[in-house]
Amino acid sequence: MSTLPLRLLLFCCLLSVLVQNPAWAESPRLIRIGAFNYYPGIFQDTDGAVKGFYVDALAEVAKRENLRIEYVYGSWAEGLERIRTGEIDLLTSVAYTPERAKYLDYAKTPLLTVWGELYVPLASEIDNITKMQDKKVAVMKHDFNGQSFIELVKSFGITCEFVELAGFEEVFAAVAEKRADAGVVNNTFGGPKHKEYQLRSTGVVFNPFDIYFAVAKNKNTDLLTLLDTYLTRWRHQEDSVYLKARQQWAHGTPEKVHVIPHWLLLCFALLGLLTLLATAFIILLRRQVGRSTKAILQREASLRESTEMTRLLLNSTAEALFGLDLDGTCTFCNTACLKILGYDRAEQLVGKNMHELIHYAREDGSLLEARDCLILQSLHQEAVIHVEDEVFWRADGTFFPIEYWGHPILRENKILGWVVTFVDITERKRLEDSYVFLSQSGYQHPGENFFEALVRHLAENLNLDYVCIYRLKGDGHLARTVAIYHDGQLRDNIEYSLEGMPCGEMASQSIRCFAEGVRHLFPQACLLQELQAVSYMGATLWSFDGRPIGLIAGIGRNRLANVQLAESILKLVSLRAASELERTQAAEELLQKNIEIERFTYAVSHDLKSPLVTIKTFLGYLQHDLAVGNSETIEKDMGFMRAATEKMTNLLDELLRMSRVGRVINPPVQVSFDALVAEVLATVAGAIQQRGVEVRVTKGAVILHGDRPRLAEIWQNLIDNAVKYMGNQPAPRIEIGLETMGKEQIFYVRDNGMGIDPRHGHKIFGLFDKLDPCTEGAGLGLALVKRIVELYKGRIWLESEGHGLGSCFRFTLPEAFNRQGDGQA
Amino acid sequence: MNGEPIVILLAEDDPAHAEIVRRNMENSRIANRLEHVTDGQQALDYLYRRNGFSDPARSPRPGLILLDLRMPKLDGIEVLSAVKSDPALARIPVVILTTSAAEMDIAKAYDHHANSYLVKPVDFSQFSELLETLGYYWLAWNQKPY
Repeated sequence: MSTLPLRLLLFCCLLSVLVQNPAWAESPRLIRIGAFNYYPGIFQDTDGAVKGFYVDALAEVAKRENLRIEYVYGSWAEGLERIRTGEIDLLTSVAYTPERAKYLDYAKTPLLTVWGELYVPLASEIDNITKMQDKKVAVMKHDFNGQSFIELVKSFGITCEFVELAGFEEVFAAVAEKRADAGVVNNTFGGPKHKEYQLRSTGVVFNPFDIYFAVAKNKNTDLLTLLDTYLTRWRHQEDSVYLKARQQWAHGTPEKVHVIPHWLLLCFALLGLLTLLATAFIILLRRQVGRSTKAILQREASLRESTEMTRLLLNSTAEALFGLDLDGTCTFCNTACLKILGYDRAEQLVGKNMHELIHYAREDGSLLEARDCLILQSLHQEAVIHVEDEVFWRADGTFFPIEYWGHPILRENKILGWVVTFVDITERKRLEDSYVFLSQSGYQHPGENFFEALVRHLAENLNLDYVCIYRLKGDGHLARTVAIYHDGQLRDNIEYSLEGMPCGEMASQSIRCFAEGVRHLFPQACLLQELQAVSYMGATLWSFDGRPIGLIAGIGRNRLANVQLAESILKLVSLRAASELERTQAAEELLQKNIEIERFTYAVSHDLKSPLVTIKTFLGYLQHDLAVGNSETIEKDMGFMRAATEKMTNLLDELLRMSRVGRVINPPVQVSFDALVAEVLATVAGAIQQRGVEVRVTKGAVILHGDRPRLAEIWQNLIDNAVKYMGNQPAPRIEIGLETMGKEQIFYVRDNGMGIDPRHGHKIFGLFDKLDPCTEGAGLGLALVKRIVELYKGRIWLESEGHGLGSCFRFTLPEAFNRQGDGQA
Repeated sequence: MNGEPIVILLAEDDPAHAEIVRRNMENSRIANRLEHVTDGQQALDYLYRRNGFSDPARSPRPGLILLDLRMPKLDGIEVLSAVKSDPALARIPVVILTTSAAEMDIAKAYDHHANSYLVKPVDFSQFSELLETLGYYWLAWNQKPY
């Protein structure tokens, strides 16, 4: 195994050491030591050099004692043989046996305490000695450990097959290569080497023993004593060459040599560790502090944000709210609360007793005691309160109706305080007042009709100086009031034009409010200027079928405080006002109809009875005259009777004609005014010619739409009358035409006949009214004309300068121009 | 029966009815002078001596007015109202003689201080009797005002 070049190298090394040390100048004593593979104590490295901690320790001794060491490498058995033959002087790692003691002297201090250990492959199931039955076990030849194990299994009655190999390396190699199931080595070899062979200890240890330096019997005993001295000292010295070498070879790399004392290293290590720990601790601490600080700042920021958010939230709610502690003292309040109560700053409320500040009295001014305050009485209860019939008092001492809710603020079932939210319900109350007004039919003042009550109500509820309600007339540009309330008093109704008034403009809209500056918006409206109006509100009143039939107008000398409220109230009352307007209109029309019917019945009964009286009476005379044979009076009697029957016939004819109006309806057609007049003139041509009347017709390119025969009857009657009442006019003349006045088309039939005393003008259109008892007819002609004109939503009137000055009938026929409509239907 | 026989003013638009009154007076031997006007306007013109009635001899002040209600121009109620509201005429007894038995007419007539309200009967003999009684009552028995 050993090679000459290696030995030469070793020698040279030693030589170089000797040359450096002058103490070793005299020739050193040669010691030959038997080397074998006893890793890590002594072994041959792959380069052939003998290494190990014995070698290091012996080299140190040699250096100090001027020795020259020569290793003779071989197996353990060869070593034993060589010491017997004197080929070598010293043997290391020798266990004491009585047999060996016969040819060996042992040092007194043991080199090591070693024991045998059983190693197996990593995957082996062997973990105790009982599992060793019939297993193949590798041992080193002549190894004390191997012998001990053989005896151990024997004592357990276990049979094993043993394979004896040259060294521990071979034993481990055999086990690793599965040539044996287990291998016996000593602990000093197995400890560092088992990983290399991928083996593990079975935990079976045995036969602990000490190993010693040994020399041949009675030879080199001085060397043994010398080694004993060093070994004893080194084994008890922690940083001894021996122990350091042992440590190095047992665990580490042979290149690394500790030059720093172990305790210092330990101290340094400890110190370093401490420093490291301290630094880590400090870093950790700093990081922790930083983290905590950040968290605190974050929490603070989020708290600030959430506080700010809460504040914003509280301040952006329309509902006013404030908090109370359990004594009823204000703890917080929002902007709406301050605004509604008329305060500027939260400090004016916070810390104050809210009941005493804002809730101390009722609407009628009577004191509201704390014991009667629902909020104060509920503070300690877990209840929710809701009140809507109380008032709060503002900073300026005024009050307003409120609705409020009180809720306890709870944390874990404990009442911390209360939060009260409230809204100003002035508007709602006002609206409710209007509801109440309407639900009580509006008749609150005796002797007032609905419209009068309504204008009064609106003026009072909306604080207006002038309120009126009108009914629209004609095409909506004329209005007649049904009620006016002006400066606290009802005024007489008037009729006026809506041109230029805001209400005129809004006939097509529902509700309009001008909170201020209305005079500038409508400079031509005289009423607004007269009243020094600032605000205006108006609501159109619509009929059931969607036509504007009237208006409610309100005028204020002050700015309108709440447009929305005004609109709501107007909207509310306008519905009822419109239906009331329709109702009264219908009632009026019905009344007119009734009066007409009454008059008709009355007139008919009178005018029919009158000829009957005549006939019956003259029948009596006739009878008497016949009896006495008075032929002269007979003729006279019969004349009266004839006239009476004639009168009755006329009357019945006219009644029939009259009844046709509105009952018999011909399909509507288009007819020009010219054609209609020409047709009429043809039918009365005889009478005209007879009286020698000149007829002038002003032609107009106007198309009428309606029941043609009925329309013709208007002109026919008027022309008839004109001819009939021409009187003794020497140059009788009739003018027929059409003229435009404003937005109206006005027809006229003018004559230069008898004329009519204006005093009698009002009764000419009545039933059976005749101005001249001598003329024919039952007095129904003009009544008939009036009825037809009214069917076309028109009106008829007489213009006459007086008796003998001629007369002029004028009339309108709006519906006849309405091509969408179907005339009189 | 004191002084001169009174003049009767008849305001009646129906010539037949006027003839009946005239004949009845004749038949009842009532010799009082009967003046006939045919409408309300004429009646007032007569009373105020206007428009052709200015001659006192031809239009003497009547001691009794027989007034129809339904007349052209001015009706009976208008005439009645004018007479009764004029102190110079108010004392003249006004008898309404009409075909209307309407409550409204009767009430209105009395409201305007008519002295009597008579409805012309449709029956011949009744009408004659009424006029005869009317003559006796107003001309014979009734004390005329001064």
